Amino acid sequence: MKRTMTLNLSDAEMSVLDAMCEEKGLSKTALVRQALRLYKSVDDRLARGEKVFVESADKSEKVELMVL
Amino acid sequence: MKLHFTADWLRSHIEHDPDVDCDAGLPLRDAAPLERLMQERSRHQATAGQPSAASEHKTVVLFKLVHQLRRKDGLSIAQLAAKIRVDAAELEKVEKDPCYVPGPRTVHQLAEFIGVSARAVEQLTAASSAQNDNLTEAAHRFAASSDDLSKLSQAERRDLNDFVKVLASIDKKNG
Amino acid sequence: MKELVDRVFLLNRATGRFEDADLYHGLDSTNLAHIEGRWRPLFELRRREAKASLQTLAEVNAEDAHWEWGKKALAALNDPFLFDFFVLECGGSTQAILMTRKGGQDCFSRHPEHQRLPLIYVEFLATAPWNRPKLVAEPTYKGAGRALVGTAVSLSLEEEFGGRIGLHSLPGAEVFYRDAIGMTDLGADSEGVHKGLRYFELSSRDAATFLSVQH
Repeated sequence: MKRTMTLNLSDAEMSVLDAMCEEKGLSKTALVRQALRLYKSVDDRLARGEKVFVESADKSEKVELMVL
Repeated sequence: MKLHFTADWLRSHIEHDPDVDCDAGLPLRDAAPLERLMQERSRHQATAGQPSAASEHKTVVLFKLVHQLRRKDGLSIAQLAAKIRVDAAELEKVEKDPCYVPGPRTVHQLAEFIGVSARAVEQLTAASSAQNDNLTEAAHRFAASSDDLSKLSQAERRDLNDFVKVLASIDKKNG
Repeated sequence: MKELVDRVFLLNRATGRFEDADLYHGLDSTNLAHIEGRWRPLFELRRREAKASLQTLAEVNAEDAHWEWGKKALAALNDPFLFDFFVLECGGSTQAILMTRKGGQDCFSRHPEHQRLPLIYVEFLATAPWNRPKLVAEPTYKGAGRALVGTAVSLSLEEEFGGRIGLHSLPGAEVFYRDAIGMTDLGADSEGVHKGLRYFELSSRDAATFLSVQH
């Protein structure tokens, strides 16, 4: 079963959402769904005490993702 | 979900595909890892508000808790309802209908009668999304204890007291 | 626990005829019982036979190391919110299982045509041991891989991912994904849980070809 909700976003947030939908070829619903899946998968790992790192392209820098 | 291929497409390709292995990701040799995943899934579905074996179990425990409390004090449904000032018909539903979720006032009055928080009692209803492993395990043990209509035996009284203790300890943890 | 998606077909190699197969979304205790009671004994028997006949376990795709690592990888997956199961039943038994992931790690494209776009990642596609040409001399059903890859591509389209899917082929199956399905071989992973396995992707463009071309 699917449910409908209204989302209140600022102009700036809406323009980011529009741009990402355009870039990824996704509807707003699909983009928000993907964002939620990613957020939850990262948050679950952090909640289990795991760490999430972001590494620079040249591998010279590695930063721990503390809060999403 | 809709499949985006036709029966003809599938048949013609199967006939022409090479006769080779097609396994991917990781090898699957027994069912143990999948069983664990399925348990996670049913827990997840229970918290998403869908009916599942787990949510039914919680309701059965609430029924049993009310039932055993009445037996302990030798009270009929009407007597307990009068004592805790709730509708007797609703209390009867709690005992008889496994899917029935009592209203907040009934939960509150029951909790007061048992001497635990309303939150702890709420966790035993099908509407609850929060039930920690400790409580689930205690609830399973309690549900498995005997259930005849005579006066509570010593063992049953102990089971009931143990379960109420677990409920009370959960109150403290949750503040 | 599971619901019928559609009726598909598998080719019975012994009779040369197609048989109806039920494709389900989700899996239940019957499927697990089949894996435990029918798949597992055959794997174990075949491993003992391979050892006795001096075949290497790699030759029959039955290396213990792979399974040990597979169990660990599965144990790490505990968020059902992200996963879908599909099972293929035919002839009264579970013939194959597909587990897909639709968000989080591994769901970003590595394909040069559309890097970072979302895709359906195949966590595993497993066929019953009696259907595996490398494991048994006379495999029973053919087509489970094709039907389940078609299912993963369908899920990708339903999720608005343009039919894109990604997976790590197990040794011996590379030819199926590269030549039969038409996926792009993006090389072997150098680190992580799939170290040494080749990663394949079906791009949006190749997904359209995959579904439209018929023999």
